[in-house]
Amino acid sequence: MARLVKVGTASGETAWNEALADPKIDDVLLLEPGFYRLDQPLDLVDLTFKGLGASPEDTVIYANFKMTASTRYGTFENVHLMQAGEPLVRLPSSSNAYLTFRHCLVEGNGRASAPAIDAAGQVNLEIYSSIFRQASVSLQAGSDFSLEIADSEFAGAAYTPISLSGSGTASINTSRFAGGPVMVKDETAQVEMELNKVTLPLLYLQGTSSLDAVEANFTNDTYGLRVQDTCYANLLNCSLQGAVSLAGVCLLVAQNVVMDKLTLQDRANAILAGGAIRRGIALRDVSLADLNKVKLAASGEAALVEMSGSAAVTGKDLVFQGPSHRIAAKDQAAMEAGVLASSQREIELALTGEAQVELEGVKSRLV
Amino acid sequence: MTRFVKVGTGGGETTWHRAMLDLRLGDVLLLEPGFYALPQGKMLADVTIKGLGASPEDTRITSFFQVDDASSRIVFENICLIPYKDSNTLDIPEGVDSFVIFRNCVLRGTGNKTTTLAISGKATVELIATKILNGTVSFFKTADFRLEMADSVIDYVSEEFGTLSLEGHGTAIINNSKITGTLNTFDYCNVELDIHNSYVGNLNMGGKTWLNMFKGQTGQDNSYSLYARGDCWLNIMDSVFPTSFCLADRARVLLHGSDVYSLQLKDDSQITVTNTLVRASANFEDRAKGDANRVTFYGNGDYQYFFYMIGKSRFKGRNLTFKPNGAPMLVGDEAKLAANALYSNEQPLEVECVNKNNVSILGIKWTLIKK
Repeated sequence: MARLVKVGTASGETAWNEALADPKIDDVLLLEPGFYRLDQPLDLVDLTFKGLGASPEDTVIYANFKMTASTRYGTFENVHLMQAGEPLVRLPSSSNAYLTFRHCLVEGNGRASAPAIDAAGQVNLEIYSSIFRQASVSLQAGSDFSLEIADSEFAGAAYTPISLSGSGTASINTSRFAGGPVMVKDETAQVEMELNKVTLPLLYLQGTSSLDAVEANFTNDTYGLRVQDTCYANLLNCSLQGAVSLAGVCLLVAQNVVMDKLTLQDRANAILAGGAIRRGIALRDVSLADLNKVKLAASGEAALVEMSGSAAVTGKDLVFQGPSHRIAAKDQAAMEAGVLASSQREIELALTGEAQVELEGVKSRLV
Repeated sequence: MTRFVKVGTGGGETTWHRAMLDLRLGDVLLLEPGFYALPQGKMLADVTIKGLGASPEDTRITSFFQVDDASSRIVFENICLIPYKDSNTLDIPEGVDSFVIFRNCVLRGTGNKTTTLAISGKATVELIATKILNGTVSFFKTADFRLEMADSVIDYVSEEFGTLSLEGHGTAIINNSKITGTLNTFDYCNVELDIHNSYVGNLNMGGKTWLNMFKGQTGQDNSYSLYARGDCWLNIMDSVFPTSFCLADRARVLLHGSDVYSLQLKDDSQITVTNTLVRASANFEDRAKGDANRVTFYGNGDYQYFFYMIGKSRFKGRNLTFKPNGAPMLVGDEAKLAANALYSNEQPLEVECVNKNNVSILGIKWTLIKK
C-alpha cells in the first residue's frame, strides 16, 4: 500500500535526505513548500513527488533523476523542477516506465545537448497542465514511446522543444510551443502524431510517420510544415503562416487549411478540400495535387501554379484570387481544372516543352 | 492499400450506396456535404470516413455501425452521426481489438438507455474535439479499454443512467472536456481515470478506481459531487466540488488546493487534505480518518454541526482555520481529534464532546459545551 511520507522541517515530517535515503516503492512524498536539492543523480524508483504549495513555484526541486530497468513509474505534481547540468530525467535503453508531470514547472537550460527529458528506452511520458521553460523532450532513435501532452506550454527562444525519433505515438492537445521546431526526425522514425488545438512554430515530419492535426496553428512565417520520406499528413481546419513542403513519397490531405505556399517534389501527393493558399503552388518531379474548392492567390510577380517535370494538378471549383493571373508549366507537367471564379478575367499560361494546361470556367491565353 | 473514394453526386464521385457496398479495408471515404442514410447498418473494418463540409453537421450519416473482428483502426472525421431508430451508433463487441477515433465529429444519441458508443471488446477510443449530444458512452464488463477524450463534450443528464460509464479494465484520460451528467465506475472495474481541466456533472466511483484529477469542476445541481467507495484511490488537486464529497468503504483520498461544500467520510475511508476550503461541514464516522494541513472549515448554517466526528473516527490537523458561524463542533462516541489551529478573531469555538480527553485543540480558544 502506498505510504504517504510528509517531507519538511516541522515535527512529524521527515527530512528530505532521509526520505530519499531509503524510499519504499509507491511512496508518495508530500513536500512542504521549500527548496529541495540533490547534488547526486537519484535513481528514481516508483515514487510520486507532490508539492503542497499553492502553486508549483512554491516547491522547488533542484536535482536530476535516472530511471532504472526496474522502475515502473515516476510522478511529479505541483513542483518546480530545475535542471542542473544533466538531463532532468534520463531513461536509458533498459527502461520501461511511466513518467508523469502534472501541473509542474520544468526549467531547463535550453541546450540541445542536455534535454530535460532524455529517453532511449520504453516510456509512457505524460505532461499535463505544465510549463516547460527552455526544457526540451528528446525521445531518441531506438525508443518506444507514448507521449501525451495536454494543456501545457513549452516556452523559450531558439530551442527545439520536442524531438522524436524511434517509434511511438504522440498525442498533443490544447498546448503551445514557442522557440523552435517540433521535430519528428530520422529516417527510422515511426511516429504517429495527433495535434488538436496546438500552436507551434513549425513541424518536421520524417521517416514513416503520420500526422493528424485539427485546428493546429503553425506560426513560423517561412515554413510551417515540412514532410518528407514516407509520411502521411492529415490536416483539418488548420492555419499556417508559412509554407507546406512535401518531398519523398508523402501524402497530404488538407481540409479547410489556410497556408502561405505549397511546394511538392519527388512523388509527393496532395489532396486539398477547401481552404486557401496565399502565395501559390509549386510542383516538380512526379508530384500530384488534387484541389477541390480551394482559393488560390499569388503575388503579382509569381505564378498561381508553377509546374515542372511530370507534375500534375487536377482541380474542381477553384477560385483564383490574384493579384497574379499566371500559371507556368514546363517539361511534361499538366493541369486540368474547373474554375468557379476568378478575380482576373483572363489567365496567362506560360507553357514550354510539352506542358499542357486546360482550364474550364475562365478564359486563358498562351504567352 | 489506401483507396481514396470520393462520395457524392458530382462527376467523378461514387454514390454512397456503391461506396458502402464496395467498402474495402484501407478505404478513405471523402463525403461531400449532404445527408446519407444506411438503414441496414454496416460492419466496419479499417475505414476512414471524412466529411468535406465546413463543419461536421454539413455531412450527416443516419445508420448504425459495428466494428468487425478484423478491424484495427476506424476513423470518423468531421461527420455527424445519427443513430437509426433505437440503436447504438457504434458498437464495439467482444472479440474486437481496434482503434476507434472520432475527430471533430458530432454524434447524436437516442436520449435513453441505448448507449451511443457501446464498448465490450478491446479498444482504444479517441474522442477529439467531438460532441456527443443527448447520448452516452458505456464501457462494459468485458471491455479492455483506453479512452482518450480531449476537447470534447458528452451532454446527457439523467437520474437513471450514467453519461460516461466505465466497467471492465482500462484507462480513461479526459482533458479539457465536459461531461454534463454522471461519470460512473462500477464495483467490479479496474480503472485508471485522469481528469484534467474538465467539467463532470458528478462522479460515482466504486471498484478499483484510481483517479487523478487536476482542475476538475463538478456541477451544482446534484445531491453529491463525488461519491467514492470500494477500493478507490483518489489524488485530487485544484478542483471544485459544490455539493457533497462522500467517501465510504476503503476509499483513500489526497485532496489539495480544492474547494468542497462538505466532506463526509464513513467506514474505513481516509483523507489527507491540504490547502483546501470546506464550506459547510466536515463529518467523520465509523473508523474514518482525516489528516489536514492548511485547511479552513466553515459553517454556513446548512448543518447542525459544522464539524462532527462519531464512532471511532480520528482526525489530526495543523494550521487549521475554523469559522463555525455560530455552529458547534461535535466529537462524540470514541472519536478523537487533535488539531493546531491558527488564531482567529471568532468567538471561542464551541465543542460538544462526551470525553474531553478525546479533544486537543491548540492555538485558539475553545469551550466545552454539554448537549
